[in-house]
Amino acid sequence: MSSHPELAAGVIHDIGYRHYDGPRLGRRHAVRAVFVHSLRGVYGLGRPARAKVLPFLLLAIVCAPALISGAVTAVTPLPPIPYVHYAYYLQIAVMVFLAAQAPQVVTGDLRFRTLSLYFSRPLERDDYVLAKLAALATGLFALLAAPLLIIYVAVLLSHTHAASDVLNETGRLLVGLTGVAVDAVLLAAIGMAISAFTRVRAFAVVGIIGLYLVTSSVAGIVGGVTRASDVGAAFGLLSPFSLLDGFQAWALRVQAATPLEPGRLGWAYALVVVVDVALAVAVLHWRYRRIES
Amino acid sequence: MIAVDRLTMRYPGVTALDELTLEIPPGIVGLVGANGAGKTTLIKTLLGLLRATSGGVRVLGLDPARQGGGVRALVGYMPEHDCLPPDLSATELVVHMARVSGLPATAARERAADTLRHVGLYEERYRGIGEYSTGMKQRVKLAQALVHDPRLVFLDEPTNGLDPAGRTEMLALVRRIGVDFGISILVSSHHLGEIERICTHVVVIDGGRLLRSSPIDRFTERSLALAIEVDERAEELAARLALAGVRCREDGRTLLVDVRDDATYDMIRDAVADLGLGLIRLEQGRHHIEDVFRDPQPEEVARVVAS
Repeated sequence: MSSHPELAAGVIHDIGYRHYDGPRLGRRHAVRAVFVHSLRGVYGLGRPARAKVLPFLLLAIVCAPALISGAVTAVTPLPPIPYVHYAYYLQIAVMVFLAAQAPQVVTGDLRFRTLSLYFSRPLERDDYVLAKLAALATGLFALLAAPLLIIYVAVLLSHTHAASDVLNETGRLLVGLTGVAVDAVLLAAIGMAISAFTRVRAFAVVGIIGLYLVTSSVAGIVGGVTRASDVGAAFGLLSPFSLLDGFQAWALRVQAATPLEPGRLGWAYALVVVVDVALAVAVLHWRYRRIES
Repeated sequence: MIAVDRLTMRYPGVTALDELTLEIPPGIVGLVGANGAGKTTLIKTLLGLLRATSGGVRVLGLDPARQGGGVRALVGYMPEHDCLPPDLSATELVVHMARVSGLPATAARERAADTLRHVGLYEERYRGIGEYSTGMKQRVKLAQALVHDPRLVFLDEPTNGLDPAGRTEMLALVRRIGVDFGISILVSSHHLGEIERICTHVVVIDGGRLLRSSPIDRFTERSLALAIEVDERAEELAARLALAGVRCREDGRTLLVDVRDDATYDMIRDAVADLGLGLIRLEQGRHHIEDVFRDPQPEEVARVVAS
């Protein structure tokens, strides 16, 4: 602290204090600042190198099958992995990403009590929650959309000759991206609601992975036993990925990736997706109301 | 600048603030009280972060309970506790906080660089905060409170955890912010003597009640005194000065002399010379605030009781 002789010797570099009379942009700008800062944090940007390792490694893992599938499609007549099933197949990598990066978005501010610095500014608590949630969802969307774009480019480069081919493929991509956007919002909401309850990152990681393992095992086992029945479909609502798969099948009218066809329960899948997100946001609202800053 | 009106804050089993009423003028105002006196509760209420049980406050003409965002855009806050993420650099954090306060990106970067320089952080501002000393962390906390050029800053125990040299530097910095930067400051401390060195006004609270609020000169004007230390026979000097009509009292090896006018200095000089004493120290011994509290005037007692 006293390693600066210029401090003791009357501050040589000092050119005097200047007041700021430029614009003050208020709440919306503040929300955007938190959003951008947190989105960068999801990928470890602006953080030490070690914070970038895991997100980019997982991005590579999630994209690798798309690269292989794209290459296979380019040299053989085999079709690529369907856009709408990609996230389902790569769900373990996606969950590891969520378990690692959702706590990164919120537990640090709780543990290091940085919330005090946010809440002493023109930002309201709900603004903070929504900005963080949007950042995590956008980060997840980037993770899930990147492989779809890789496949899209591979298909366009190798198999499309007519304009109608391009249009059809683009239509399929847009359906895939829509599904992935819903995935991103639901997973981000669940991941953040769990993470916001602990200051210890490891607990949040275990909570997210634990919830995923338990629900997907139950859904998988019951689904395997009951095959395509209403009972099986009802259990499919439990696990995030079978829920999202069933929701896509119903809402986007595509083939489900699981044996758990939503069938007549399609509307229930849509309802549960909405309720889960609303519940997570309500929990986050309640949680951040109660935090003393 | 700040008006507090019959502010009461009750928690289950604890009354943190009890019908507190006071006016805080612009300048560097010390908020003094023991731990648990209600300093932090008062600051958080002024920021609109806590809802009062009853009573109200106004900050810069706004009501923080209803216009919290408006107040928080104009004030800065340095919390007492640690609040810095260790994986960010000081620059990253302060730029980010400037943007959350509403500054556009370019202005945020410029002001962050300026502010960090003003608080005395130079090339180390690019390193992770996790590697910083306590003194450097306190400076980062101060910088984030100033980066958006607030009209008023709340500094909650800024000297906490610092060694004596660090305390002195921090207090000098706080004084500079008030005097050179022209930003009003409410700075809390549980150390009376420390705060009187830099404040223009002092508010003392205890148990959530106002003990005293007055300009610093009123605290010390009655006791403007000269501390004299001689090598021997201090009692002879005391007797001699008393004869000359100068009030003085012995405080260990030091004589505390009331100064009436410039003639008092000459009298002391002559007395010391006549007695052939060695003068070790002659110091403007403005009594510390503690002394003022040691024997409160009757009107003060009355006021404390009345509040």
